[in-house]
Amino acid sequence: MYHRLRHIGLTFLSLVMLTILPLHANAAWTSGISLSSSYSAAIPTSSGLADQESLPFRSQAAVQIDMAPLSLRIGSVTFGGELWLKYTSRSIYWGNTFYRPFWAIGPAASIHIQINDSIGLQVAGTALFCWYDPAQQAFAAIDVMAAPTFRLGSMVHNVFELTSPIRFEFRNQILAVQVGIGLRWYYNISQAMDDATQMRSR
Amino acid sequence: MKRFLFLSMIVLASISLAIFLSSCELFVPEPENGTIRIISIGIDYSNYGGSNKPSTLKGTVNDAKAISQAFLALAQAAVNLSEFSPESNIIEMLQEKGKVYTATDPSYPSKTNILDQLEIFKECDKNDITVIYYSGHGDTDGSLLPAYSATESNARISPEEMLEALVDIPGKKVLILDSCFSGNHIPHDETTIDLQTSENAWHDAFASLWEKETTISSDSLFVISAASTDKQSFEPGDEGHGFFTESILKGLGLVNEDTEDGETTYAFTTPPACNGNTLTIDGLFSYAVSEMPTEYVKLQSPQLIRGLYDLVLFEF
Repeated sequence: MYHRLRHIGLTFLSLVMLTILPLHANAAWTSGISLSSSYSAAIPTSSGLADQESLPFRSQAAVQIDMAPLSLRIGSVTFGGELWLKYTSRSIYWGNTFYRPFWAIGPAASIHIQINDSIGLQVAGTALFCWYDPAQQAFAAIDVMAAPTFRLGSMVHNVFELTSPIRFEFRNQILAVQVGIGLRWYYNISQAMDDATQMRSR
Repeated sequence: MKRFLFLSMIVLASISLAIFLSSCELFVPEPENGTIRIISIGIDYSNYGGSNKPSTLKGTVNDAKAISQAFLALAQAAVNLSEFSPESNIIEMLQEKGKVYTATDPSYPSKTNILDQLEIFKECDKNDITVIYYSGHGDTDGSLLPAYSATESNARISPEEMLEALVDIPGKKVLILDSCFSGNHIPHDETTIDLQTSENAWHDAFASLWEKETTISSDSLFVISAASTDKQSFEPGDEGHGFFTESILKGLGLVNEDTEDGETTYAFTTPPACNGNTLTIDGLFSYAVSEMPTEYVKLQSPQLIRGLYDLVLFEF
């Protein structure tokens, strides 16, 4: 009973927020996607693993797509719910062993703060479900990200930004530090709808 | 002032990056190449004299012979091995119908002889790869059933005994088992969950993230098993190969097999299981599973060692 009430309460609160927040003078809905590639240093965090490893860390590459179907911008701050899809390559061969490549997917929460006209900062966090493909094994990871963004330009309702994400991926026995570069595009839905309404009323 | 700060930060970041990268694979010299050794064991149980006589198997000796031939061909073509001698690096331990064995024959696959052979491999180099292939019966707990010996009736090699025998062999160890319940030889790993058996994969995966007392992923033992812990492994019933071994052989590049004058000859090509010019354990396993008849994949559920690592067997 308590759980049901809690679910109803949370749903109601979410609906109220979603209805009221866009009424804010500077509120707008946006939709976007970003693509980034990173260098990843997988550092053993358990003493057992570190003891058997002859290197302090192993190098991998990661490619990631972050999809933000609907984000809410209030003033200079954008709140987004995102879906992250990520592929981490195998590590570079060392002797005859290497770390396996894996896929990861997870829902993320993101906040983007526009500092001035061209520079911003995005911070995000997620819980990732990861899996090794041929081995049919899965594991989880917690991923937190901070990414300075630089506005490259805008075109009608589209905005393009350059990002440089720094990610910390916490896995069992491994901390992966990832530094990368990427592109971020978002579309201002509210502005587009306003323009469309104005066009009709002329 | 701002420009000075900016430049200082750039210089500091560059130095940090250089120090960071200089301790990774890109700059630290790699370990030297080792060699590969294989013990290929095939038992048909035709001479079994124990009280619980197991059924005879028709494909096991063929399996073991073909696997050793495949590894011989690949080792001779590979560029990642230091020195390779077929006589000392390929060891066949066979018990087949129509052949008479003496008690002192070290190639007879009794329990003592198999464990003695593994003992000899303890003199390997730390850069070597030792492959143990076994085709024969497996007990419900995964124990391997060696060839009959009057002095060690109903002997078994349990997963624990096998692990104990392998642990002191330097370098990387690869265990390929085509026997019933052979998944029991795969060490337990708590850093990952098995997607084939987990009913709530999302929940289990996150539970494993917070698991403090986890088994450390091993970078030295690699196991491929034809069957899971509770499933059997099958052969077609003629004198061909076990379903799983046949798929492994395809992955290793066995393209033709002819029998002339009682001797089987093999022809090989670049292994289809290669990714580029590299043959890895994961690549071999995934190719073998894709080549196996679907009904036998379901019946046997082949398994692969869990955890972080994969191993390069051959580079061409």
